[in-house]
Amino acid sequence: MGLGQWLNERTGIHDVYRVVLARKIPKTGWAYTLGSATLFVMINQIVTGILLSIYYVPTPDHAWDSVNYIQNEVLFGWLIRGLHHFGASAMVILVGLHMIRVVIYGAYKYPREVTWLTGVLLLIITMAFGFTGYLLPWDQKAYWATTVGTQFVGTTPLVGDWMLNVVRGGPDLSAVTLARFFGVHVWVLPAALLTVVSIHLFLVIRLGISNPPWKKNQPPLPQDETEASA
Amino acid sequence: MTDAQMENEDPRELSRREFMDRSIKAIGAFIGLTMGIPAVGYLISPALQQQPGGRVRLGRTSEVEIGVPTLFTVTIDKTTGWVKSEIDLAYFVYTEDGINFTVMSNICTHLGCRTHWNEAGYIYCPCHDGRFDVQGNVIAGPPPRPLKRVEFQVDANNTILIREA
Ligand code: HEM
Ligand code: FES
Repeated sequence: MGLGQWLNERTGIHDVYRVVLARKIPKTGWAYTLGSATLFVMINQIVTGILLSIYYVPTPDHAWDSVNYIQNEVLFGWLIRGLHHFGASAMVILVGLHMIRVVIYGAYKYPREVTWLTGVLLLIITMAFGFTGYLLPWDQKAYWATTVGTQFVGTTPLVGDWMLNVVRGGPDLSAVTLARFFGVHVWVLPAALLTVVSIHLFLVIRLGISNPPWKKNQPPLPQDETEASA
Repeated sequence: MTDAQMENEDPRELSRREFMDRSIKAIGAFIGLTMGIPAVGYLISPALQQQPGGRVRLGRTSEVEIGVPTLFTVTIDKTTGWVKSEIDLAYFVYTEDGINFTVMSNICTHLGCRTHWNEAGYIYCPCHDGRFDVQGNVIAGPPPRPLKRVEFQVDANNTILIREA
């Protein structure tokens, strides 16, 4: 008995492969790859982000030096940082294009409303990643961009000042701000992202990919399909 | 299997499905390697970096007590990663005649604690009761080797110089 068979008997891994990777989809086009492209860049961000955390430290007196060290001293540091840096922009662009694709093709309609809603959360999470990550190098651009970006919060009626204090961890940008942005960037948001992406992909697989609008008939829902083949 | 057969009658020919399957795996392996190799280099990078070892003045030969290992401490500037800091180096210098000297590290050869001279007549490591004689040879306890001897020079002003570790 081969290892694959041994494992399959205990885990049903072949079914997982069949349902997740070898699932049937309608004849579509390149626009339908945008979600997968986003997923790919997300994995890139996770891998390179973990690598950056090996050297980066989130304190005002060393944050910039540690980034400079990664960029100029560590072997391939420029590559890892570059991939994370440009990957961040790529991810925002791809999420946007993916969403536009869903709008144009009307793929948000029944029964995919919840997929759309989890998608909205993913958009917010992606933007939050960009916002919190931008501060981490603690250079002039980061400092002032975050000063301006957090200042908006203060304009909220009544509770503005209080909210600004929460976001910055005080009235001004400080060591506290950097530490909490780091915590949100590397713990809160990744946890949220992985949770919501899991639900998003579960729904994509469960409901099947929508037919392009120029095709009349929806493909059968997965439940129907299993009944039909049984 | 049945899909492959339906798509392609001749089993010797590469089916479209199989071609895609292999291409995806090849591209995946390529991406894995182009990420994996730099990642390993990135992680082991600090171990590959050479520390420039300058010369350090330990002290004057006249400061060494005859017959007793004398501890010299020097503070050097060192950059570790992105932090510039001062670290203390400590060495025993031993002489019996004021002419021939031995310089040895005070780092215990067992598990790296700092040793010191005990008035009872031996170099003592407090971590696991390691004991060394005046020359750094092990007398008792777990240390497996004598204290590490260090190469040194004595210049024209009778200053003991060692290489930065
Ligand atoms: C981290 C961000 C995201 C990832 C990784 C992601 C991933 C995916 C993937 C892999 C698919 C299946 C293939 C495709 O249709 O492209 C998909 C489908 C879908 N996504 Fe996203 N997505 C993200 C953000 C969004 C956003 C911002 C929205 C809209 C607000 C959205 C709404 C949808 C919908 C409605 C579908 C179903 C499309 C269909 O069945 O044709 N997603 N997503
Ligand atoms: S470290 Fe010195 S005796 Fe163990």
